[in-house]
Amino acid sequence: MFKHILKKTLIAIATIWLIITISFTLVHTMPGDPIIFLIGEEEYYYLLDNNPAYLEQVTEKFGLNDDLPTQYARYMKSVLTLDFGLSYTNQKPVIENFRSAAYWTLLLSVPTLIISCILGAVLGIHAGIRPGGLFDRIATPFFLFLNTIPSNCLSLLLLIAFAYKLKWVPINGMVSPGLSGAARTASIVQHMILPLCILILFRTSGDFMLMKSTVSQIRQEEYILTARAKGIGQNKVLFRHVLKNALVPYSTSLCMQLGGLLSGAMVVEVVFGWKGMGQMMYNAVSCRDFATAQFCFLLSALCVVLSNLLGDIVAAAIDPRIREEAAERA
Amino acid sequence: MKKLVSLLLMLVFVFSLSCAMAEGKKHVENLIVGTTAANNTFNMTTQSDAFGRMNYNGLTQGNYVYRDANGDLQPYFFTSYEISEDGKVLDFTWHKGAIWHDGQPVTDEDIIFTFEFQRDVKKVGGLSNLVSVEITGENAARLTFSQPDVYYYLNTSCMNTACIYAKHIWEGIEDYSHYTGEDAAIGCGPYKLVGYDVDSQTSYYEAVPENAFLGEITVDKVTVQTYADQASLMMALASGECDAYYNYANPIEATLIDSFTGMDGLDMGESPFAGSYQMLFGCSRTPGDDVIFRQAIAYAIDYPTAATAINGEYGKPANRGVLGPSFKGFDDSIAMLEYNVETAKSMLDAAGYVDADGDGWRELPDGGKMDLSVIPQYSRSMEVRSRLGEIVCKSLQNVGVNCHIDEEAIANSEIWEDKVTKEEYDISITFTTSGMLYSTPFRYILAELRDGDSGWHWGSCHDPRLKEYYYAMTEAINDEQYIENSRNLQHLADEEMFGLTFAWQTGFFPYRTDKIEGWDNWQSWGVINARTWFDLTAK
Repeated sequence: MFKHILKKTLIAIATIWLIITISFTLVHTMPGDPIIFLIGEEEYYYLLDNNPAYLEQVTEKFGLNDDLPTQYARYMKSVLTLDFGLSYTNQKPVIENFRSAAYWTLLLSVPTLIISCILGAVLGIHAGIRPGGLFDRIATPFFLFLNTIPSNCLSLLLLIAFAYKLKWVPINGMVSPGLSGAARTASIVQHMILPLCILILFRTSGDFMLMKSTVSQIRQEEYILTARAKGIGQNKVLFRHVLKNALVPYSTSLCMQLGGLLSGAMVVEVVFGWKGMGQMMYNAVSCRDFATAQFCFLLSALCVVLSNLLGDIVAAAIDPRIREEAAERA
Repeated sequence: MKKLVSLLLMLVFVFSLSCAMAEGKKHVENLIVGTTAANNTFNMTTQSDAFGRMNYNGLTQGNYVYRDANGDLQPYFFTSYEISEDGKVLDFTWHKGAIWHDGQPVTDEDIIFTFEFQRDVKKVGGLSNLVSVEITGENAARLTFSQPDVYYYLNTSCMNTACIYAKHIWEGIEDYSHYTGEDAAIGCGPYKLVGYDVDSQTSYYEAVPENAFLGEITVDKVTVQTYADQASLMMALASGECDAYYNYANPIEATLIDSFTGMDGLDMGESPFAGSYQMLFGCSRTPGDDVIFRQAIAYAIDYPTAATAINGEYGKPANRGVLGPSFKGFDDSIAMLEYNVETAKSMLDAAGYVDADGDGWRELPDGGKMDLSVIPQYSRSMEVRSRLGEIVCKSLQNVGVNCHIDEEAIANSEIWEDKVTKEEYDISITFTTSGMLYSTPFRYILAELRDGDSGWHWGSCHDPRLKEYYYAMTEAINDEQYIENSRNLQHLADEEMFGLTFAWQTGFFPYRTDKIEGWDNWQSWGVINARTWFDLTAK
């Protein structure tokens, strides 16, 4: 088991290094001149007319004139020392912007993960254990339909309905201005309701479909028939045999979702004006903010690789077949 | 007795009237301005974010002058100004008692520092010929230039952070635009920044009575609230969450307007908009160097479709003079652009552009193949420009002229810049913001700048009259000269057809009318302008 985990960890480290290199190369070969977005189009053209020397200074300052190998070496050093430089858009350290954005993203993503994990599992089991039953006939088409709607479309429709027409929730943003203490917390919760509901709905639909298909497949296995033939009660069959086997793919999926905790839900964040990681990444790409874009790509890659690693470990812990297979190979 | 009663009644009437007048205007407690610009940067030397854009209206800054609803310059921080006949000297006076938002008084040293800082550190082009700044009396100073640049400087700078800078804050700061100190937002304008909340994207301002440049400040507080996008902002405006929309050069999209038109208490703030999309011919290569070809193609373009693409049902085809009604010196005698396929075809036939080899496409008069490259201007948001490129291509193909969109240029800003500056295009689609109201789109039609001017050009017309009229217009020392040369340019455009404007746009800067009155909707600008702080009253 230990060797299995060690091997997976080394592969993960190599993957991360490769991703760092690829993300650096990709970002620097993106079309477009970063200077034009560094200071905004209007100021760029104004300075080009009135002060072209200043544009040159800015380019020098951010090392944009150096050759790629020099920029790469500088970048690797900064990654190892956790210095990702200044964001081009607001001149603050990228790490500082990340801390602020990560807080707001986690505020949405953690409850989404927990609630949708539980809901998806419970509803999925319920539908999967009696396929074709009344609950299955209602829930499956509903979640299938939900899965097909683009999130930006649903977000806008719900925003118009609940925020604009009914005025049950605020139209925009993360918090109302001028508040502090408990009032500010309450305002944040109020602003969270709609984006959180949308994220939970979408995530639950995916979890539901996975759990339902896994359970309905497992309940047809021979060992389940054997367990029933032995007279074991329905609940015991469910929890001891069905669920334990369904947990392997489900837990792997959850671990993959953990990797997306910090990426943020870009579309939902942009529609609702939620200044999280998704919005930060969207702004970084559209504004050619190299420093922030590189950091976002790196962070996403790191999270996915680590969550994969975690998924492998959890799968090995749950499923003895994986442990035995690894031991045989070793 | 009767006389006594009459006299008493008259006295009572006069007394009541004077009491009513003494009560003054009913102040607006808090004006909430909605915008889609971010509320993150608070540095008075830049135009960044909502703070920078609100300062085009002199919110926290002491802008020297402002452009009024008619486009004429009016004093703001200056109480008066006078330009010498030769256009080289500017004498001005400024408000006594003006203070910085940290409580320090505005001094003569600040005035001198302001112009030297802009000339030597900010390197403002309009001040490159500034020779001296001198104090000539109490609250009076003189700028002397080596060239007749005063008129041009005032007109081009009035929306570009041309304001007074505090010597005690900015002296010694070279990297001014990246300065993030607490005092970076301090100005001497009618409002001071008192706080901001980056999480809720809100900034707060309070009136500074000492800096009441245009009379009594009638809006006690201003709140600037950022929204995720225009749709959210319009919903907020319709709900009464904010009072007016402002975002420099970015009116509300025409596609959103119909959903909110007719709502109680909401005025769409409609007005002609000076921002416009142009089509420029590549005049330095065949066939764009042939004026007859250009004139023929001008009839081939589907202007109604282009107008709809730009501004929905509110777009109107333009005239042949490039400039629209919002521009000073607009000449309404110039004929409108006409979409007439048959006229285009017959003009091309007569000029020798015929399909000699029967492949369905016209050739050059000498028999050479013709495949025009169309380059939409590279930009972060270039959907409309790309769509216009498609419309132009379809229009050209409709009259038998082969063409293609330059895919390389629309994918890469460096390639686009290289091609336009080297005049390697046949047709270029460009956009001019409403901020070019003084310089006009002709600035970007120029193929050559005057000696000593830095910057670049997008145009390819080397007709000497274009350069002559343009600089005569921008260096004009009075309105009459400006208008005369503006008209010369428009007639030249009509005659030579080196470029055209696709459509005249209607801009929408909506505002609420239920709680506040005194709004003045300036063309291309909206109701949030330099006079807002002094004219609004509560209902």
